[in-house]
Amino acid sequence: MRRLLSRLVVRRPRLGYAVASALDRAGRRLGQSDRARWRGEVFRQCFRASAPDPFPAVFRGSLPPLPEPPMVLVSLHIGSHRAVGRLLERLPAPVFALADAVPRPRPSVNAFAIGDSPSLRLMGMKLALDELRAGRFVFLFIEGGKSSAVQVTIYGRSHGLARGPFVLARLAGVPVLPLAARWRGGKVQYTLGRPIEVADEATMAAAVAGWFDDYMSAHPDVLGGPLGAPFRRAS
Amino acid sequence: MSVSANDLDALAELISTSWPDRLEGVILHQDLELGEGGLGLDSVDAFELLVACEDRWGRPMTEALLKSDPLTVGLVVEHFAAA
Repeated sequence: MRRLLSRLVVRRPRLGYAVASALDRAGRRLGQSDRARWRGEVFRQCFRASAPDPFPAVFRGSLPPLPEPPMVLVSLHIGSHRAVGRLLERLPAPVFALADAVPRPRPSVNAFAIGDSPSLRLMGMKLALDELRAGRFVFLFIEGGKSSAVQVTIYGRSHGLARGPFVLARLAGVPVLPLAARWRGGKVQYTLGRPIEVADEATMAAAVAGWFDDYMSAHPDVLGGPLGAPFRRAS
Repeated sequence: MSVSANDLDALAELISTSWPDRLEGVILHQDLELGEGGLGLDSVDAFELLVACEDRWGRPMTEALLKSDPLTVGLVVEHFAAA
């Protein structure tokens, strides 16, 4: 059942998420390992250049003002996070994306898969720091933090955010910018936060958490999918 | 591979600046790992230490160094402090 649902999410994302959400509400919650696997699959699809574009109408509406590099861009797997890749393509400078698993990059998005290997994590951070120092963007989804996390509260629940993105921002002396995407009718609406200036990791992470807290409060629909479950408030 | 006591002292100073408790009860030696079982630095901390080494000795970290498994005190000092 879960395999079928995963395929459906990949091929028909909106329908897949609607079905998954309905199942989720019915109590068939995904386990943590399933969510992690699902998240990896979603990220692969997000950056796969050969995949059919599931968001053809994304940029027919108006875009928010786009940020100027260098900057660390961060997001969570909420809302229509698969559309984030489309936004990254349209930024005014190349983007370096760090992810658990990425087979192929999008145009102007150079993705690096760090996986579980400590040496690959070090390589990824080194490349990301070089990109920031060269005046480019770095993008990461920031849930978890496998080896190093900073604890924050988002939407009334405690979460660990990856510490690496904030350390990169501090070392490069560049701001952090949270962003998110959500379905609105047949289009995707992108929302960008304000740049969070360099500070210690806990301060920057708290500011990012505060922005996502406000975003979720304003748009609770972004927590509808199975990946949004960890962020939903207990009823 | 051998590293000088002066270079070890310089590395110890860098470590104690950012992670003052990591050297408590630890004798810094060239075979000591930066990660688990050694200094106990996670990958983000280890990266920060390598950046501090770059600033201290003015030499860039290399892919070969980052691929070292395990990454030890000796490898770090030898890479950055070697004349």
